Amino acid sequence: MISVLVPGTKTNLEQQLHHIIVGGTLPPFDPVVIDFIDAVSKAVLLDNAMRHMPEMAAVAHWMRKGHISELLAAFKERRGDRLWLARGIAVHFAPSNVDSIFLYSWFLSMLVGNANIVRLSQRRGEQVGLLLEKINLIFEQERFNPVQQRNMVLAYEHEDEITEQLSQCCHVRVLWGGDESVRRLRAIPMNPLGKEVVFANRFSLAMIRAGAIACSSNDQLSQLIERFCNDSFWFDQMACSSPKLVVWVGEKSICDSVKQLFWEKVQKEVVRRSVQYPEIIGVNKLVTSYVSAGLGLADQIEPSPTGTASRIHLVPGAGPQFRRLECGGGLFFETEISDLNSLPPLLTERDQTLSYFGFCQEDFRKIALFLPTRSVDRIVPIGSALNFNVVWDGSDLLQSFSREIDLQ
Amino acid sequence: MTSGSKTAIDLDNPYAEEPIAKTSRLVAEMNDLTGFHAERCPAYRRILAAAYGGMTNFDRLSDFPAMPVRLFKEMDLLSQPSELIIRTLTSSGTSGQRPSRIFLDKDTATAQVHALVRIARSFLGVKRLPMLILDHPGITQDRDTFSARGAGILGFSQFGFDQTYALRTGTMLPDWEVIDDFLARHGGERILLFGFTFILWQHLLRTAENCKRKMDFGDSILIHGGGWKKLEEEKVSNAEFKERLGCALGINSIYNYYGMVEQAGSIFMECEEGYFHTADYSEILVRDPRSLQVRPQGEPGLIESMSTIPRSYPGHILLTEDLGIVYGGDGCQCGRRGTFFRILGRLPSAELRGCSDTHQVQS
Repeated sequence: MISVLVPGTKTNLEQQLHHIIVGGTLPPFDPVVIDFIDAVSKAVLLDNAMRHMPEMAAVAHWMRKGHISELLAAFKERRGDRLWLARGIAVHFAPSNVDSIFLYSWFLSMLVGNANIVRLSQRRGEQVGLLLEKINLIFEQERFNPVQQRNMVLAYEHEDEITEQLSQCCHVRVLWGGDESVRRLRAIPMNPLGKEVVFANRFSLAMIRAGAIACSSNDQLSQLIERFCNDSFWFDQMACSSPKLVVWVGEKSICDSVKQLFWEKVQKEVVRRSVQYPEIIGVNKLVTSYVSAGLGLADQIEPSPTGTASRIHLVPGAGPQFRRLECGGGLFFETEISDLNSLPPLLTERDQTLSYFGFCQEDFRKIALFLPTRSVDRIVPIGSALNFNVVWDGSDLLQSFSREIDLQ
Repeated sequence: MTSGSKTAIDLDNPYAEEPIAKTSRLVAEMNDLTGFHAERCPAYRRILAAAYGGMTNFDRLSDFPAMPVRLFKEMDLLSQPSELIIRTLTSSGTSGQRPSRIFLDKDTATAQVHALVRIARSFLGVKRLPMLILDHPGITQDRDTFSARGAGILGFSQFGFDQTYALRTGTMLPDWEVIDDFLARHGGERILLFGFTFILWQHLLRTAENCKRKMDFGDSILIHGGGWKKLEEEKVSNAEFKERLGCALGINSIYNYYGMVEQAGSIFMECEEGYFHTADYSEILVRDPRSLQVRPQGEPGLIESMSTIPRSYPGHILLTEDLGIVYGGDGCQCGRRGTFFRILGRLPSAELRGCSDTHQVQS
């Protein structure tokens, strides 16, 4: 069962597919695309209910004309006088449970001029439905016809036939993980001229210089806690970029006293926010904690780690295996290192976002060369872990979705 | 079981022990078992070290560390060298999940049988009865690894003779010819019927009702246990199930039991008043699912089950994912002593959001 969700529920699938195939591409950052995206932003911000959904508000903010202009300026700077054009038709396979990701993927591709087919999962959040309704209303305006004719959003369960049909006609195939979806989709052949952009499962960590907490003011500390909780609890700690490991940097005695203070404040903050998960999530955390200790990966766990923020202390020299135990819902692995030079051996190629407190950019420029192969795609201050950026998982998406003509 | 404490136990009746004496005996046995497993099972020892600072001695039953049952799905836990393991029990496990693996040595397997014998005999009497197994014969074929179903059937088979399987392998349809023959052989005798709750529901009761087939088992006794999930989904209560089953089979004595493959042997039989009972092998606590604090009688929570039987794996104190209510520590109207309780169902499953599709929460 395939349903066409955009550009309108009455759209004929074959007809729209035909439009997309013959319609060709648009120039990069065409004004009609920028206007369309801005119109979506306005529609969200004008909707009283959507405006108050933090995820939608963030998306709307990102789509504002002002922000898109910034993207354009940066894009132009990177492009220089090189000739960058749209690649063609992009097919996006959205992740099943972070609702807003599909929009970033889709609109970035739209901005460089591609035609787009977005496949959403059947099980998607309520806010996605609201958003698609807004988009369909905007598409009724004739001035957006060039955009309307080049874009389509579909929903279907895992039907390989349609996936193959779309893959055969596309020039970019964008696969958003988990690993299982990526494996399944990759097995389906695509246009030999097509390019694949893949986002697999990732792991993320936060790193805190203990000394920096010790000399923080109360206000600074509260702000840190708030930001850390945003990063951790906004997607129930299930977003790839949410920290699951906290690395404390400094002398052991300072780390120990600072940790105590930090987690007490985190507990208070989650109570204040009334973060609460279904009871089974607490049991999952109990199982994960006991398994970590049972396997010899942890030397300290909470006897009853069913609360909203629970900790597992890794044994010194624990290998990377603990990563596969992550279960979300506010379960944090913890370890300590004496200084930044001890960080690289802790990392693996699965690690995506390193969010930090008490360090500066310069510190990371120095150690970047010593990072293990493929590890760490983002180094951002705590509080920015979930901010979507054009550079994602190691590549500039605007560039990935474009092609370059070698002009000599 | 420690040898010194056996004197307090009535050899014929597992429901006779005075509650205060039982509790202090169990504290001693649990201390003994906790120390025993901590010494022999490295994984268990590491868990106690990480969560309880290595403590193995506790004053109250509610203080002891309980292992979440799902731990036995995630890792192999043994307190005996693997060459002494004679049998591995596995849970049925929901699809996509690893089943529990429970390792039995000779002593633990024997202790399970003894416990089951004492418990079941107090309901069935000592005489063996002709036995009709409400399942298919294929279920008990592999004798080294058993599913929970196979283990239950085999355990109860010792209380019967002329064990006959009532369902066909493959189709799971009742084999009416076999059933009629069995009834002809044992006309007028008291028969033991045994099966799993959802098998009875799915494959016997509904088929019998659909083809309007009524049987007459008279004063026979039916014992059943195992998951209620399917019945819960179809909103069939224990009372309704009992009534319809009684009607189709023409039988009055129907006993449900609650048990788990992780603590086979020390099962909880349902009494005439409709409560499950702890025998002298076992104890039940109810904990708040969020704080894991013990909840008072009459309030629902997660069931924690203690058993004195397991010595080859550290499963003597388990936190289940079943919800239940303890109604009393003694004094059930049925006359049996010991804690009596009811099971409400499973803790509901739930999923978290996120980017990953491989960590869906299952229960």
